[in-house]
Amino acid sequence: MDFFASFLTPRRLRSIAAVAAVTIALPAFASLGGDVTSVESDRAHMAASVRVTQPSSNYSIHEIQSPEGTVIQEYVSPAGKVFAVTWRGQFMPQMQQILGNYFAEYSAALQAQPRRYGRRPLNIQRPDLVVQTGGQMRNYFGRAYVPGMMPRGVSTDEVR
Amino acid sequence: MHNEWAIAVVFVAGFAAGCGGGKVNSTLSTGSPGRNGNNVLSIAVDGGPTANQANGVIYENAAFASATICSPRSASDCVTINHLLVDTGSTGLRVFQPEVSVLNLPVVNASNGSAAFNCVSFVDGTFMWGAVQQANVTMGSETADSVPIQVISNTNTGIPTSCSNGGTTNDNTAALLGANGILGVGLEPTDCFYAGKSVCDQSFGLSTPPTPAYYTCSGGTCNPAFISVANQVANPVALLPKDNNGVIVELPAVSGTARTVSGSLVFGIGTESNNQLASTAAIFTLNCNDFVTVLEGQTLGITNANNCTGPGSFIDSGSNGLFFPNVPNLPQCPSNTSVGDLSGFYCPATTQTLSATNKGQNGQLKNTSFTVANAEGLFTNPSTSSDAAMSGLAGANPTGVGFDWGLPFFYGVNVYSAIDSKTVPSGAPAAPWWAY
Repeated sequence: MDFFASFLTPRRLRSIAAVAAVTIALPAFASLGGDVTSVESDRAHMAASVRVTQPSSNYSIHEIQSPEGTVIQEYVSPAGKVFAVTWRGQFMPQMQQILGNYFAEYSAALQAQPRRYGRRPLNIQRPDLVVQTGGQMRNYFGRAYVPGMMPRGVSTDEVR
Repeated sequence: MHNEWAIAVVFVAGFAAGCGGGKVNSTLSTGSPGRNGNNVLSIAVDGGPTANQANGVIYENAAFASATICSPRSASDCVTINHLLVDTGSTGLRVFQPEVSVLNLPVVNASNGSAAFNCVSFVDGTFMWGAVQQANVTMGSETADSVPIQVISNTNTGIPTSCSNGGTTNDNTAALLGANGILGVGLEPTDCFYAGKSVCDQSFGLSTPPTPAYYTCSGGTCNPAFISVANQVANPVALLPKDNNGVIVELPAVSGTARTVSGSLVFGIGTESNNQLASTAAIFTLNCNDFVTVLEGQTLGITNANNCTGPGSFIDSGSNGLFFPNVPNLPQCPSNTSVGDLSGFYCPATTQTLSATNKGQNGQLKNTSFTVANAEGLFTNPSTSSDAAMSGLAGANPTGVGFDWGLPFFYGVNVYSAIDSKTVPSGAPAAPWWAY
C-alpha cells in the first residue's frame, strides 16, 4: 500500500502560560474521549451552530452544523465525556478535529486495513476505538465511538 | 503492505484450470445487450487492467470503459485510456498524470486566479490529489469539450493534511486504484455540486472554502480555495452537447459468477430513440441524494431531510458489492482466510436469497431480491476465483449507514441516473433521480 500520512502534531504551545490559557478556555482537538467543553472547541473551529438534545437520561447529543451543511453529533455522557461522534455531510469531516486523541490510532488502523481492490465502507474495530464510514461522494456518513466509554445502558445502535 | 497485494494475485496461468468445467451457476462470458448508437459507450466487467497479465490482480465487480482525452488546443493531441472505472457514485473524470502528461493540458484556475488542485476522499480513507486541467473528452462517439478533469499527481509531497485527513493511501497509481482512472458519471454535474448549488463556489457565501475539495498552492504550501462551478471537475456526461442529462448503465444478468460480462453506458435519458425511459422503469426521487431501503424490517433511509441525518441508501456502480447492515443468519467472513482479512464481506454457509424494498421520496416502491454468496468461497474456489463478475458478493455496512447497492445490483437491471439540475423528459420529476 502506498502511504502518505500526515499527522498534525498537537498545537505547538510556546509557553507554560499559553498551555494553561488554551487548556482552560479551549481544549483544542479533544473531541472523542474529551470533555463536553470540547464541543465548544469544535463548534468554534467549524464556525458552526450547535443544538443540544437529550434523547435519554444516559446521554445528550450536541449537534454541530457547519455552514456548508455538515452535521456532526457528539454524544456526551452524564459525566460530561464525548463517548461517540457521528457525521454526515458533503465532505469528510476533519478527522483530527473530531477524533482528537484517537486520531493517531485511527490513522494507524487505516494503514493496517486489508487491501483489496474495490470501494467499500470502512469498518475499524479496535478494543478502544470503532470507526465506521460509508456513503459516496458528497454524501459521507460515519461514526466513531470508544467502547469502554459507552454509558451504562446505552447501545451502540443508538449512535447513528 | 505488498504481502496483501501478493495474496490477491491471480496467475493467468491458472486460467485454463478455472475454465475446467463443473462450474455450477456460472457462465464463461456474457455478451453485450447489443446497444448501438453514437451515445453508447461499451463497458466491461473484465477484472481490470492487469487481470490478463502475469501476476495480475482481478478487480471483481468493477465496470470499465475507455475514453479518449485530447488537448483543447489540438484535435490531434490525444491519448486513449482504457480501464477507467465507471462510477455512478462519484462525479468527474480522474486520470493519472503520466497518462496525460504528453498532452500538456491547460491548467484551470481557482477563483483567486491561481492554478486549482482538487482533492477527493473516499469513504475507505483513501484519497486522490492532483491538478485540475482542461481536456476534450470523447466517450464512444460523443465528445465533451473543455472538461475540467483531475490529473492525479504522481508524487506524495505537498498534499495538505486536510486532504489526506489521516488517510494512509494516496490512490495515485493504477496499481493502487486497480483502474487507469475513474469515470465519475454520478448524480451531479460537478464534484462540488449538490442539491442545485455548489458550496465550493464563492457565490454560495461561505466565509472559508470547504475541505477537502479545492486548493491553490504557493511556495510548496497548499490552502483551500473557492472555485467557480464552471471550473470544477465536471461530470463529462453533463458537458456533452446533447445527451447530457444522465446515463443508463446496462449489464446482463449474472447467475452466480461469470468470467467477464460486457454492456453499455448510454448517454442521455429520453434524448434519443435508444435511451427512452422504459415503461417498466420506476423513478425514485431522492432525499439528500439517497432513497430508502427496507431490509428485513430495518428501514434504512434519511430520517431528517432538513439536515440529511439518518442512514441513507443508494445505488453506486463504483461499489463492488452489495453492502448493508447485518441481518440475522448472515455471518461475516473470517479475518484470517488464505486471501487475507475478509471480515468486511459476508460468508453464509450456503448462498442466501434475500429481498428488500426500495422507496423513493416520491413514494415509488419496488421490491428487489438479491443473493449473498460466501465471499471466501468466491475468492478462493478455483471454479470462481478467476471470475470478474460475482453477483453474490456482499458485505457489511456499518450501523447508521444504509444499503449500498453496488455493481451486483446492475446485473440484469438497466439503471438510469438523472443528473441534478438537468432537463429531464417531460412528465418525469426534476433530477436528480434514479430509475430502474
